Amino acid sequence: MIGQSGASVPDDVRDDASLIRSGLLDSTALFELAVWIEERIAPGLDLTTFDLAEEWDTLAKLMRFVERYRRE
Amino acid sequence: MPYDVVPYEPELEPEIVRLQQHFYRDAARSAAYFRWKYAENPFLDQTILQLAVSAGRVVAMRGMFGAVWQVDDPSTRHLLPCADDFVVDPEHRNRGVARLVLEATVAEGARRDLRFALSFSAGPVTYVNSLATGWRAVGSYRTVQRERPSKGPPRWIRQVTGRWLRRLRLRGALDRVRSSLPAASRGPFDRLDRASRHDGRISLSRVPRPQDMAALIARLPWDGRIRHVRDAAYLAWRFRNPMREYRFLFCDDGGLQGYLVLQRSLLDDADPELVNVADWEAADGHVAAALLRAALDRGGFVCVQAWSIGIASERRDVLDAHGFVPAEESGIRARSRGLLVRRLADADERWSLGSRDLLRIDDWDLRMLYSMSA
Repeated sequence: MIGQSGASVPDDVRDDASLIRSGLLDSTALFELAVWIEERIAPGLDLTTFDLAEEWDTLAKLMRFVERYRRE
Repeated sequence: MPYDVVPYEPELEPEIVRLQQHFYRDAARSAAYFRWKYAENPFLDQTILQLAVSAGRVVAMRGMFGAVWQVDDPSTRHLLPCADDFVVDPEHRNRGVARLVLEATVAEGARRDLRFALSFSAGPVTYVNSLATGWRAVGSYRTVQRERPSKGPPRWIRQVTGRWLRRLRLRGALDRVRSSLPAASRGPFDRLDRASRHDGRISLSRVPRPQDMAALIARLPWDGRIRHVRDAAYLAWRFRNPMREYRFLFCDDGGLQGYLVLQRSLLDDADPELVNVADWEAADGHVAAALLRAALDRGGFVCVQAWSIGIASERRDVLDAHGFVPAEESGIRARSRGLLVRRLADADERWSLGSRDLLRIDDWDLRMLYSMSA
């Protein structure tokens, strides 16, 4: 998912490794990921309604966010 | 890669200008912009600017420039700086350096006992990164625009073509083509500049009248919402922005009764047909309407944008009557055009200024002038 968004993280990053708070995903990569999620998964995604740094900080949390959004 | 995050020092200025050239290709203008925004700012003596340095080079930066606000009573003064100039060298992205400079700038504001910082001019990338580092969104500016139908290719095709020509560094060729065109095709203010300087009570000028404008603002009623102090010193400084060009319409009738400020960007990537209403004050609705009508009639602009948030309903009616409609935008890019607030020091402090709620958009008397978009 992150790769498809145009952003990139190392292949060996663990599911529970911090992406945002560690700075592994920042600047344009974080923006590209947000746009990708909005366009592909969550149309109308409002980034102000949740704690971005918390809910997207690891691959595991990101997957949970996506799953929750798909169910809603 | 190790980074040193250091506060601004004058000897780093050439490096800052070099880094900013990722945004502003013209080095001389970039240097002038930096000096104007930070060194010449009338509200903050010391520059708040944090820089990430790697191998002797500045690779990321984040600044805050001085801005003073009033709320409830005109005599109140609150220094709430505006964050801006978030730049990360492309070769250093995704290495944590963005977060380092964002957080270091907030820490510096806290060290100076500043309570809150504001962000009016975040581009989409900065907006998303700001939300990830503790900034709170207040709301969008609700941009409205008036587009004049034109012959030739649609505006979006002209915009995309122009942007790519500039990216491909064909700016010189573009300028030569433009200079060979009739004057009306050269820039958004050409027609306005050829119009009569005076027409009844309304006059057109390339320079502001800071004293008169500040005096008008001071005598007009105000409902106590949060607004920037617009005194003569601020206005004189504000309209010297070297990245923008301004035109002023004044309505005089035994003294200044109103003004309207038009602005266009001089940035390489800017939409060359776009004009913004940066500020607009009037003693009454008739004067406000006459100023807007004069600007539109004399300017014949292809596209004019204004913020509709925060203005009185009668002023919104004037915009409606002149064909302004919500700008057609969607997605994160559009929603990122809005005000952000960051608490700097006390984590328990209420998000308020005077009797007003900083996170409530209706508690703000917003003007595009506060943003570096104008």
